[in-house]
Amino acid sequence: MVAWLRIGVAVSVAAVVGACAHLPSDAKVKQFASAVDKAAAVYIQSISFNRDISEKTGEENAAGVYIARGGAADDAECIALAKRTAQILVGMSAQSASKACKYSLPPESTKQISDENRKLRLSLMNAIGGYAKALGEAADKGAIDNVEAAVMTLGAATSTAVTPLLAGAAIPVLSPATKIVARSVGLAVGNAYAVEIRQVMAQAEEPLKKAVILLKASVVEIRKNNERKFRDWRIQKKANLGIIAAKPDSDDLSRSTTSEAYVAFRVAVSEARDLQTKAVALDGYENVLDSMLKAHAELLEPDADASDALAKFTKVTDDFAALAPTLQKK
Amino acid sequence: MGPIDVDKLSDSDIDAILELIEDLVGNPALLNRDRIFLAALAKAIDDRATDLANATLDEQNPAIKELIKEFGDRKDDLKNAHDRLVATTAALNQFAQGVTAFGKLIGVLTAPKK
Repeated sequence: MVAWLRIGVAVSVAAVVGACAHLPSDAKVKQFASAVDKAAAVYIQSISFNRDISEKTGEENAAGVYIARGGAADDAECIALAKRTAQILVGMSAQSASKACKYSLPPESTKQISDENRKLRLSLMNAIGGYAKALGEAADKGAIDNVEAAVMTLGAATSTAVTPLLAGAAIPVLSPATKIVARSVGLAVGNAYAVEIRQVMAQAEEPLKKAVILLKASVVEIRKNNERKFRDWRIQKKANLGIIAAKPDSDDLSRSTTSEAYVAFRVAVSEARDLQTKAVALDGYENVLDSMLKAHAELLEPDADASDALAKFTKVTDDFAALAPTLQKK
Repeated sequence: MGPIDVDKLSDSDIDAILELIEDLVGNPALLNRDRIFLAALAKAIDDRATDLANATLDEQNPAIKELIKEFGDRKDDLKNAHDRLVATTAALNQFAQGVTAFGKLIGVLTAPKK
């Protein structure tokens, strides 16, 4: 009878263990969450750059108006300039074009990616980051170890509690059997938990694919706009450098010395290098998004050792994260 | 240069025009008013191009809003599952303590009387 009981328990345990679903390795999930965080940081900073470059371009434009015209707002030349601009750009009224020869303090920035567009994309990156962080916490092996240990403790407590009520002959049989049952219950609880977590991860696969497609399309648009804004900034800067360096006979408002022009040029070079790094920060960012998707899918694979995609994701995000200090610098 | 309708320009047209302006604006032979004119033109094209970029991004927004909610839900699912596991562990430990106390009581009650 006792032998049959032992065999029955052993078979039950084997059945549970055999059908066991493993949580993804907590170390790998945490690595994934950390890489998502870094990827989000670069994305967020690159979107913020759009606002910064718009402000700087607006400032350069205002400075140009100031140094070329001494701040004059509505003389005949300015009106002529506004008309000329309006003639060239369809849909632009002479009135709005006349802003081109006025400046305000603080200067108006050039148009930028709208707040709503910026915030929604930041929210999406943050939502993915939040999911990855929750995944890191959920995959904590310690929590499963704790529940298994609690079941074992309960089993031991039960065994101790009922021992005085049983006949002496039953004691050596019940104690190990209780341990086995407790262990199998603990495994079953852990298994059910792992199944639930993997189900959530599987449910996240499709949204993650959609998010990657949308974020990649956004990256294309934002990068293009950042690069255009950087070109616009260069145009404003070159116009200003030209005004500063203009020979006295070419225009009656020029009054800089050669050394002042040289200093202005050196400053412009330094600013341009800094802005260029930021403007192209999203180059190749599509690889980060693609590798994030592959790494997530890899976490769901039964092969616990698979980590190629995760390793690649970590590497590309580390490469991008190296840009972070430059991107943060104003 | 004829009139430019920015709304009808392709991306490559916009870039080509800005590139042309960038080349021109650096010319030392220009008068300051021409520099300001070119700078204003570039700013206006940049502004209109940004309007177009915003319009393109606007189209994606409804889908992005849905995804934000979706990831929020998945995060909650994970958190709830984890919280339940932790609560189960705590309940088991508490129950074990109760059973141990009960066992001690039974032990006392069933101990042979001297």
